Amino acid sequence: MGAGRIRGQLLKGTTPLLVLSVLRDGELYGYEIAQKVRERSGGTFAPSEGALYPALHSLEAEGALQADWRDSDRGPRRRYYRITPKGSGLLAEHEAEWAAFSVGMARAVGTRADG
Amino acid sequence: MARLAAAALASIVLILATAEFARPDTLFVTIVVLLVWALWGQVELGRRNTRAAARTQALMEHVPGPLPDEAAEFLARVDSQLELPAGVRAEIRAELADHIDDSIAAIQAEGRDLDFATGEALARLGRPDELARQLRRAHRTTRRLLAGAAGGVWAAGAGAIQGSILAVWILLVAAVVIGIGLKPLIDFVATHVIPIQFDQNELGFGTAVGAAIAWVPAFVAGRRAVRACATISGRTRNELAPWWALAGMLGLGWLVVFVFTDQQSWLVVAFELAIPLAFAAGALTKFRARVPAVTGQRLRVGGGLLLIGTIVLASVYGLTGVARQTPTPGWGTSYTDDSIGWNHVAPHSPDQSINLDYWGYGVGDALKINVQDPATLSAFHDLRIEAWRAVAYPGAPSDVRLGLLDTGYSAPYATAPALVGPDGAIEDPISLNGSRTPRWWIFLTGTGADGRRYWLGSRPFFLERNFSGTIWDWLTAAA
Repeated sequence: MGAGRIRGQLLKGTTPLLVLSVLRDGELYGYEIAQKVRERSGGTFAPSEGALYPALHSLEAEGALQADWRDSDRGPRRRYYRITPKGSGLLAEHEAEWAAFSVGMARAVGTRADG
Repeated sequence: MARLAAAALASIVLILATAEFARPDTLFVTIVVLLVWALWGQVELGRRNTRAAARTQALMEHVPGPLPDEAAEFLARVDSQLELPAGVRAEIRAELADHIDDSIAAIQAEGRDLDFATGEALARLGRPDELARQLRRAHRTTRRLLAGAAGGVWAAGAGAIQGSILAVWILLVAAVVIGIGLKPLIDFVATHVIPIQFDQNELGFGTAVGAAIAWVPAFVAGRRAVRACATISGRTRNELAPWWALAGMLGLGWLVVFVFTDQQSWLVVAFELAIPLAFAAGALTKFRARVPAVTGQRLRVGGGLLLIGTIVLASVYGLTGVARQTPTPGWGTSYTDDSIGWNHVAPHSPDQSINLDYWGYGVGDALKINVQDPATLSAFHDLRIEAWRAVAYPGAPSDVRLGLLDTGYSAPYATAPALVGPDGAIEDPISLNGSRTPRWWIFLTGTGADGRRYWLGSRPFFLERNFSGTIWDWLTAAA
């Protein structure tokens, strides 16, 4: 089992959290979101770009994001996403879950490593 | 939670609609719940339409850069697997094209050539089939499907109203065309080519015409339902159309067969059963032309012309839609007992002093017999009312209400004791439900002092009334 596969499995289900967290600071379009996630994690997280758009469209369908086509800084029109109040609430839930998960995982892994 | 609530709501509606639909209070609650549900769908439809309008505007202004062939093939592959409405697919295509464009530019900026950059950009998006599958799932949520169904119900209702206006227009045009332009031709064909009598006085003819008019709103309703549902739910019309056709067949079919009470005949049954078929045809038919919106100025002009047309037609045919009848010689014709078949029932009483009045000519009118002088019945006992089947009198004009006693039967269809009130009235003396026969002879009979049974009064009562009930009542009734 390669490192990439492990990373993929660990990241499974975290894409909405990553997307919502980078959109908290302002609206972005799809490619910028992917770049932002990569930058913020220092390259640790490289979410599949193939998983990005389904996640964006799902969050939009849930009402967590709102999207509009607008001119970008680079000229051509882009589809910009921004977080909605519902999305902010969802982000808070995801963060709390992730915090609990990461603490629990660290403890479990640490216990096993010590044992 | 939202899915659970939606499922619960749908279950409640289903239970109310099927188990206790007939109760007025339940019916009211059901209609309110359905309206609220459909209104939710309508609100969703408004949102989707607003988004769709913005999307269309954005995509019109969107100028995607030229993509390498490999990327174009990738997008085409994704697009072919999406199975989403055209507008949503176009939006996804544009968004992914932008992404690939940006990605290629960024990789090239790192010093890579176009081929490598293209391959790398596409690799980051993964397999096109999997991407399409995930995108399809993102757009096809249960909530959107429920909202789509609700919006479809609302749109079907609106379409039915719109279709009704269209149908009245078609009827008016048809009445003018047939009544003025084609009448000589129809008369010629009916007289010299096909010996048919196309008579609007025929039993059930008006009901059949009414059912035919309902085909138009049913068709428009089916069409509008699929269109609205597709817009809201993120499903394609091709996917949804068979389900709407099935739902329309079952829902409207149930209403038509078990709920709608009407005057029935085989013609009416056939025409009414075609209403759910018209809905299904509307749902399944594919054509681009939109049904023109009837709003504002068109509505006022159309309403005014409709009113004028109605007044003109009403002045010709009367408000009931039945042509004004002129007195015909048939009413004054004298018929002998034998010629009509009354003696098949029993011999006529020799006592000619018994005078009877009959009431109940209309479909909904209760039959009533009034004995002018009850004392004249004292010579008879075991009085009873007998209903015998009749057939149309051969050769009589169709607007002459007369029939021959059907001597193919040796016994009456129904009999009941004649309970004569102190005032001589025999109220609601017999039930003719459960038979499709439209023509009857109603007799008051009694046993005389000689022990023989006679029919009494100067003549029995010829009753002609169409079968009134649901299609199911008609199908399960005796011939």
